[in-house]
Amino acid sequence: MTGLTQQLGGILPTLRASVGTFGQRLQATPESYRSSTPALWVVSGVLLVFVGLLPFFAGLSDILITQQALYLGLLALSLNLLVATTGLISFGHALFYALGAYMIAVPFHEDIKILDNVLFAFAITPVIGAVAGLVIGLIVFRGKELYFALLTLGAGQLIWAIIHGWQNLTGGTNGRPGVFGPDFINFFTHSSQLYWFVFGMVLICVAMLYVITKSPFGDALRAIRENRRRAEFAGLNVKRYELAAFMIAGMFGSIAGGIHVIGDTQINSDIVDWQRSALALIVILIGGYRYFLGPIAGAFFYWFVFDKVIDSTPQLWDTVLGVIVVGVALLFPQGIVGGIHWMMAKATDLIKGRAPVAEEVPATEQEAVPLPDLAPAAASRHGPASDVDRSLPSVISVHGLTKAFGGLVAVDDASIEVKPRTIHAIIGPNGAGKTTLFNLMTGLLPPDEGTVVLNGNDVTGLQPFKLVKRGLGRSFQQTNLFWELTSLDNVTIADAAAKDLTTKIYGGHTEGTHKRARELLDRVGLSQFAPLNAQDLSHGDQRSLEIATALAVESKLLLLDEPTAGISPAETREAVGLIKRIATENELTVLFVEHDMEVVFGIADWITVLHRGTVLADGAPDEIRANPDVQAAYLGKADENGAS
Amino acid sequence: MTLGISLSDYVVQIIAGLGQGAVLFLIASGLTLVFGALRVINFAHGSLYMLGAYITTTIAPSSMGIAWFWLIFLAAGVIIAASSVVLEIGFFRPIYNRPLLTQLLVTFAFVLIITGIVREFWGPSSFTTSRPSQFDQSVGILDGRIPVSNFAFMGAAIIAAVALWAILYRTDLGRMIRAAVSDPVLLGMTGVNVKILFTGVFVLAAFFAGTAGGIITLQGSVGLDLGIDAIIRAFVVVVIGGLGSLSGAFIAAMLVGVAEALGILWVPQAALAIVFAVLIVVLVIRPEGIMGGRTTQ
Repeated sequence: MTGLTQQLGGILPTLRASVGTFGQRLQATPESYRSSTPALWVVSGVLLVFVGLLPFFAGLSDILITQQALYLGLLALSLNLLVATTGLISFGHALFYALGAYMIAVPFHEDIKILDNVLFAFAITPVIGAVAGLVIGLIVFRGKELYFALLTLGAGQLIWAIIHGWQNLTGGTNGRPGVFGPDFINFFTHSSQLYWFVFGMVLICVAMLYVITKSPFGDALRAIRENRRRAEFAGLNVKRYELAAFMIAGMFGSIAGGIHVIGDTQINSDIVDWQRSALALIVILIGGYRYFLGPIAGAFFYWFVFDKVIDSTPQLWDTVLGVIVVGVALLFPQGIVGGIHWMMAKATDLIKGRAPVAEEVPATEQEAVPLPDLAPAAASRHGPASDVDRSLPSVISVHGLTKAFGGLVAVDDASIEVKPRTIHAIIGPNGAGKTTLFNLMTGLLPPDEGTVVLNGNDVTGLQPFKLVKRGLGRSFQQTNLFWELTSLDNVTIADAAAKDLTTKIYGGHTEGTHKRARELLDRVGLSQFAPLNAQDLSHGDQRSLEIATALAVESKLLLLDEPTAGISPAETREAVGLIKRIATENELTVLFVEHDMEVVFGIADWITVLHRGTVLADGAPDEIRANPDVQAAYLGKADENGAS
Repeated sequence: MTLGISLSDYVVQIIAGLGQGAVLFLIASGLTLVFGALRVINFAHGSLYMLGAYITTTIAPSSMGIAWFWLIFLAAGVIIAASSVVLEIGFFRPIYNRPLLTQLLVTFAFVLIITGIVREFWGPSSFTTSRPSQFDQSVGILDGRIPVSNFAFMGAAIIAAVALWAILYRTDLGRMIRAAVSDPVLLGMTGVNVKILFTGVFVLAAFFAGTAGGIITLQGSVGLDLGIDAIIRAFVVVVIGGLGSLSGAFIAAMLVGVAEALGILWVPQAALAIVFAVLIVVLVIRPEGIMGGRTTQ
C-alpha cells in the first residue's frame, strides 16, 4: 500500500504538470538564491570588487560600457521582482525607466529650468516610479497572464508615444543631450568619479532589492506566483500585494533611468521604447531568472560579450541575439548563473573527490518515515461520539442562498446552519451544487440572492482573504498548495500571512512563526517532509499539508471540499483520522463536502443533503440514513455504484 | 485644437484610416487565429508580414499590370507560408507548453532574427517599391485626395474576411480549427492529429501575413520598421477585439485605423498615443475585449 501511495505521489504531480493550463506561471525548481551555495557568494563577491575597482585598470570605453550594463542590469533586476518572484510578465517596464530619466532631464532643460539640482531630481525618481506604478498598476492588473503582458506593453508604448511626440519638452528622438552642462557639480565631471556614483547607486539598489526579495513580503509574492487562490485563502490580499510589487519594481526601474541620465548626461526617446522592455526580459532570461543576480549577469553578457563580439558583423547583430535567446530559452533555461552554479557544484565534487550526486532529497528519506498513527482513524469509525447542541448560535449559516448560471440554477434557496464544534457533512449526487455552495460561502462567487453569516456577521460576497481573517479556512476539491515551495514554507507563509506579518519587506520571519510552522507540520505528521517541495509529497500528504495550512491561518471553521478525493483507501483512513483528531484537539467546526459515504457516516455529526441545488434533508446521520426521500434521491443509487 | 479642420479633411482621414485598418485586419486576423488555436501570441507575425513585403518588392518587375501584381503578392504569401512550416515545427511546437516568458521571448527572438536577416540582405534604409501604375494615382473626394491603394487595402480586407469566414464555417478544416480553439485536448482524443492541424493554422496565418506584406507595397515604400510597427498595432487590435475573435479583430482594426488617422488630424505628435489610449479605455470598460469572452483565464 505504501508503494502505491508513493507511486501515486510520483505520478500525480507529473500529470498535473503535463496537463497544466496554458500560459501558466513560471515552472520552477527550488529557487536557487534562497539556498545559494557559498561558492556562488564568493564568485559574486570577487566580481563585485572587480567591477568596483574598474577605473583603476580599465580604459574609458570599458568604463562606459560597464555603466550601460549597470543601468540595464538594475532595470532587469527590478523587473525580475515581478517576473521570477511574483510570476508576472511585464512587457512595459521601460516606462518606469523613461519616467525616471525624464524626471531629471526635463526639469533641467534650459528652456524650462525648474530644477537645477540634479541630485534633488534624482531623489524624486523613486517617488515618480511608485506613483506611476500605482496609477498604471490599477489599469494593467485588470488583465491576467498574457493580457497583463500585452496591457503593460500598451501602457509602456503610451508613455513612450507621449515622450516621443512631446518634442518641446523631451526633444523626442534627438533627446536632451548635455543636460548637466557646466554648472553641474564638479565631482561628476571626472569620469571615474561619475562611474563610482553609478556603481554605488546600483549597488545600494541591488542590496535593497535583495533584502526585499528575501523578506516575508517576498515570500508572500512567491506564494502568489505559485498559487493565487491558495494565497487568497492563506489570508493574503493578492491584488494589493501584486500592486505593491509593481510599485516597488517601478521605483527601482525609475531609479535605474535616473542613474542612466546622470551617467550618460543625455537621454532620448529611442532608449526607452518597448524594445528596451523586451531587452530587460531578454537579459533576465539569458542571465538566469531563478538566480537573484541572473539579470545583472545577463546585462553584462549583453553589453560585453555580445556587444563586443558582434562589432564584426553589424548587420546581423539582431539575428545573433535572437539565436542566442532561442537557444537559451529552449536548451538552457537556467541561464548564465545557472551554468556557473552547475560548474561550481561539479568542481566542488571533484575537489572533494566524491561522485556527483543528484541535488534532490534522496528517496530513501521518504521511505524511512513511519506512517502516522492510524489509531484515531479506526476509533472514529465507531461513529460520531459527541452530541450536537443545536441550540448554540451557528458558526456559519446561509439563508436563502441562490445562484444561477444562465438558465441553470446551481443553488436554489439553500439554508444551512452549522453549529459550533460539529463535523458537518454536505452530501448530494453529482451536480447537486455542493462546490458552488462552497464557492458562494467563501466569496469566490457572488450569490444572486441570500446571505452568508459568519459568527453573527453578514459576510455575503466578502473577499476570501477577509473571510480568512475572520477565522475561515478552506481546502479545495483539487489539492491547492504552493507547489514549488517547501512544506515548511507553505505553512510558514500561511501563518505569517494570516497575522499580516508578510507586509514586512526586510529581514526574515519571526521566531514565533518558525516555531508554529514546525509545530503544525508535526501535528499533521509531516515534520520529516519539511524541506520537500509540496509537489513532491504523496497526494495524501498533500491533503494533510492543506489542512496544516488551513490551521496555520488559525481558523476556527474549516471548509473542506472532498478531502479524500483521489487518494487511496489507506490514505483516506489517515485523512479521516486526521480531520477528526484535529477538529477535537483544536475545538474546530468542520464543514465538508464528500462523496464517500463511509467517510461521511464515519465522522459526521450532522449531515445536509443537497439535491439539484436545494436542501433535501438536514439532520443527524441516523435520521438521514432513515429518510426515505434521501434514499430515493441519493443513497440507494450511491450504494449501487459502490461509492467508495 | 480642431479649428481649421474642414469636413473634407475628416472624410479623407476617415477613409484613409479605414484603409490602414484594413491592412491591420489582414495582419491581426492571422495573429488572433494562431492565438485562438495555439494559445501562443506570436511576436514574429509582424516580421513575416515585413518579409512578405520585401519578397514582393524583390520579385516584382519595375513595371507591371495588376494581374502580374496579383500573381506576385500571392507568390510572396506562398513563400512565407512555406517557410513558416519550418518555423512552426522547429521552434513553436517546443514552446506550446512552456511558461509565458519563454513563449513571448522565443517568438520575440524571431523578430530580431528576421530583422537582422532583412537588414543583411536588403540594407538598413527603406526603399521605394514598384507597383502597377494605376496605384500611382489618387482619387478626389470633396476637397481632398486619397491614394488608390487605400481602396485596394479595403478590398483585400473584405476578400480576406470572406475567405476566412468560408474556411472556418464552410469546410471540415474550419470545423476542426474551431474545435481546436474550444478544446484542443478533446479534439486530439477524437483522432484528429492536432499537431498537424496547428501547423496548418500557423501556415494559413503566415500566408495571410505574407500576402498582406505584398499588398502593402502598393503604398510605395517599405522599411525595416514595417514589421515592428505592424505587430504593435496588431496586438492592440487583437486585445481590443478579444484574443481569438475574428469579428472582434475586424471591428477593432477599423477602430484603431480610424482613431490613429483622426489623431493625426488633431494632435499629430500624439497620434500613436491615441491608439494606446483607445486600448486602455476599451479594456478598462471590457477587460476581455469587444468580442472576447472565455479568454481571460
